[in-house]
Amino acid sequence: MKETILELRNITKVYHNGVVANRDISISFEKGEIHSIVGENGAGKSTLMKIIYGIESPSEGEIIHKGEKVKFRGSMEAIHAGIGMVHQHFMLIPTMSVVENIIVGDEPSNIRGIVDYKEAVKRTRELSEHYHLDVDVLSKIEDLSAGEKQKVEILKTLYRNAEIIILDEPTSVLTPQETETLFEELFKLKEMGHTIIFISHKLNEVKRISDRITVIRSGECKGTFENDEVDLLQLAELIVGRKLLSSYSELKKDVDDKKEILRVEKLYLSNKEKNILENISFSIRSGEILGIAGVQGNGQSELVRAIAGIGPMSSGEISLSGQRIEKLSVKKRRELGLSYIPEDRLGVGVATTAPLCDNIISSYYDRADINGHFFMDRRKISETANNLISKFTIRTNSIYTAVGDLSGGNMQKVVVARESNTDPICMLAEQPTQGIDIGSSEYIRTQLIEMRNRGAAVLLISADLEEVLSLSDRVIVMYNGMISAHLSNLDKISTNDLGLYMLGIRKQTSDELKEALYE
Amino acid sequence: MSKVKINEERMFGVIKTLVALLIALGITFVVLCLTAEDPLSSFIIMLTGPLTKLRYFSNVLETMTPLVFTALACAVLFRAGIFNLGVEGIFFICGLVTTYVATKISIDNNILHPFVAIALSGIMGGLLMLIPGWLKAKFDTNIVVSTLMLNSIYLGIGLYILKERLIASDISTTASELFMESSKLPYLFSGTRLTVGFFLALVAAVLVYIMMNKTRLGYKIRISGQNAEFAKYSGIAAFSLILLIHFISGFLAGIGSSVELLSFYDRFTWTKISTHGSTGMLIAMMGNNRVVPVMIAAFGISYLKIGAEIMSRSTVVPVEITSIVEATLVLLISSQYFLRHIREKRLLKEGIANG
Ligand SMILES: Nc1ncnc2c1ncn2[C@@H]1O[C@H](COP(=O)(O)OP(=O)(O)OP(=O)(O)O)[C@@H](O)[C@H]1O
Ligand SMILES: [Mg+2]
Repeated sequence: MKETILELRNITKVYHNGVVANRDISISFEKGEIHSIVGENGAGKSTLMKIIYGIESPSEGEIIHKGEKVKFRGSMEAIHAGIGMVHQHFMLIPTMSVVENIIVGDEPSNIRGIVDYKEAVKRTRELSEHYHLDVDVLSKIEDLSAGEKQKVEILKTLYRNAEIIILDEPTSVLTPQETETLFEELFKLKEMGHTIIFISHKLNEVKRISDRITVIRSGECKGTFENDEVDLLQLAELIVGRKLLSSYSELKKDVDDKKEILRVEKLYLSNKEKNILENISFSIRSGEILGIAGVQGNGQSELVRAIAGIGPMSSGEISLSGQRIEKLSVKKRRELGLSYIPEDRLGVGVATTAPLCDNIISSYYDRADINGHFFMDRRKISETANNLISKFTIRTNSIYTAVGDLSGGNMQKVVVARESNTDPICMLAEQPTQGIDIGSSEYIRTQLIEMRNRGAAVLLISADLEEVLSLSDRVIVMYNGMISAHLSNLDKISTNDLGLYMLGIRKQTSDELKEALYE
Repeated sequence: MSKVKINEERMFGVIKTLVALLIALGITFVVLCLTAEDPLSSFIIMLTGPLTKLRYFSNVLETMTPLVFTALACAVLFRAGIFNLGVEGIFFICGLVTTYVATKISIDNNILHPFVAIALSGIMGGLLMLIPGWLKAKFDTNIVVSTLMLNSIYLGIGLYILKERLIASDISTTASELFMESSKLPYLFSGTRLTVGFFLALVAAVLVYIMMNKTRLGYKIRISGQNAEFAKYSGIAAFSLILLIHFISGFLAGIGSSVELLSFYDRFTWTKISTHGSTGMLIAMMGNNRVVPVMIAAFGISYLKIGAEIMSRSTVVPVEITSIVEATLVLLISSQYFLRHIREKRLLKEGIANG
């Protein structure tokens, strides 16, 4: 029998606004296990983790740590007790070095109280070697890849002697390779006796690394299972409480009148040193989903931003339904039927301090159906907001809730709901399901397919290869700011081949690439 | 955030402002104890004085009149996240437009004459405010710096115009000729000096309220103030919006200046930037740039000013005691701003942590 290191007993959390985020949850964590917590958006996973980490205090219930009842009054006390947490989005200072980020708040100092930088570097190096978390400790955070940043975050907790490490959706920003590396590292940590609490919406990851899995639905614990007790489908059903689609291809309908909707030709974006985007040409017809595969940071973001009109481009042509749009304002482009789900939802996709009802109409606030002659029509706006809330099952107290108070996945739903509500003829969907639970992901994907079936053109950018392959009609691969492949026969493509294109090892000829333009 | 929480948060804001007020009053009382012979009764006179006579209470509303305009002018811009300090400069220079109309142009109609003066003043204010607005929209210049510089420039130009064109020949101090009788704003009631200007201030408040909360323009202002990137992404064009709200702000400031002069002055006598602009800014901050609280704050500040004036008449305490209240309030409230900023940052971080 393994030894229990941390035990939650009957934890209930009621937020000040009356949301019951956790309801009578009891879980025990064993020393040296990888324990996954799964559940839909807003189920209360992050809240529970914050309670363990001392950022939130439970309204009821108790926490037993190493046999003793504890009450952390802040993360400092939790850290002191050997608990570390890696938040979903990085909490690192980009302009500082790895060492500085790791030691901040707990610097080794010499007798005179001055930070002993050499000692810090030495200790950090030792740490990274000891735990096989290889990263150049002197480089700046901003120069690191997502995977390396993740390592730094973990090192940060280890530097503070964490025995229990909480990872809140660590893989949502990682490429498959980086995820695999992370898992190897987690296995090693586990062998060394650390306890890992892992949160993810990707169930195959959960199945791959967990010893035990706890399912939370609507704030309630639906049970803890040994990994081999449940298979993927059962797990999915436990989480959403119903069966899920197994394939999207059945949903697709053929669209008769295939016109060209979006056409991008010879698009360039360069800074002083190099081309960030080089000779990008492709076309999407109505009733088509074009996926862009590629490791994040190969120009995909810049490309969509240029098409949407919020980012720069150096030269090239963009047409929407035959009309040139590259010089038009964002507003004009939107009026022509362009919609955009941006990757950076907190910075670009919503105003966190504004109420949901303001957020959910921003891209069509002046449309006739929610406006009177002179004034905006409050009643119609609440009607619209409430409709979208129920259609997209957004979990919120009311339409006046500030979007920043929603759980991450529900924020994303606000964005998707708004962008779908304009009947777009061209949808730019950038990471549309990032951080979204399986049930809602399915819903959003079905929405994209429905748009396609209605005759819209969809450009899908996703780090999730499976998503790209299962939704798209054609795929282009981007590498280093260029299109390295155009693939129209997706059944014949293996993920392995795709990987070669994504890593720039293989590249199609320019004749083959012309097909992206239907030429 | 549910509706419940919004109310809760509002309550929180009200409580914080009240606490700031109490502290300010406390400090005033301490100062009184150190200087006045009978601190307690002085203090009571200051707090209750304005209620003792109709005339005093009217004085409060008179003081409030220009402040409503300057505070609204600031609030419109602050709400959009633009920290423009130019209202006081506009207020000064538009006074000269009014003075020109009131002394040089004779219109034999005591409705039309002030109307022309107020309208021209407002339009001039709007146009002049477009300068920093355009610089911001076009080149993203630092609006604090550009408006501070413009304030000095307007003061210089204004004084030049006053001395060269509008200076009185009948008296020796630096002041304009007497305003024509037809240009002055009519009184609202007999027995007080309250003029139609107060009514105009209320109308302005109602209009700004409607604009901010009911119209598409107000929506755009709110969204841009909360997240400029988001506004841009949504297709809300920053350029025209920035220009438009600068015009509105300058327009309000210009009208305020004109109303002040045509209500309570016989000639233009300002030789330096008046405090109307800075007090308006303070009031806008106190009211969190929302119309109803701004109106309450404008009333409160005016009330204190008059209270102190009454006290200074019956005691040896100088009227400058109000500057202690004001200064303390500025400090407390701006630090409140500061705190809120930190709080919002924290909220954002939490939002991020939340995933
Ligand atoms: N600071 C807060 N104030 C009020 N309510 C909150 C706060 N944080 C979270 N909530 C609410 O508590 C519930 C649980 O949120 P939590 O962030 O724990 O969900 P989650 O399971 O982590 O979801 P996700 O997978 O989307 O990250 C949600 O309904 C959310 O709106
Ligand atoms: Mg979460």
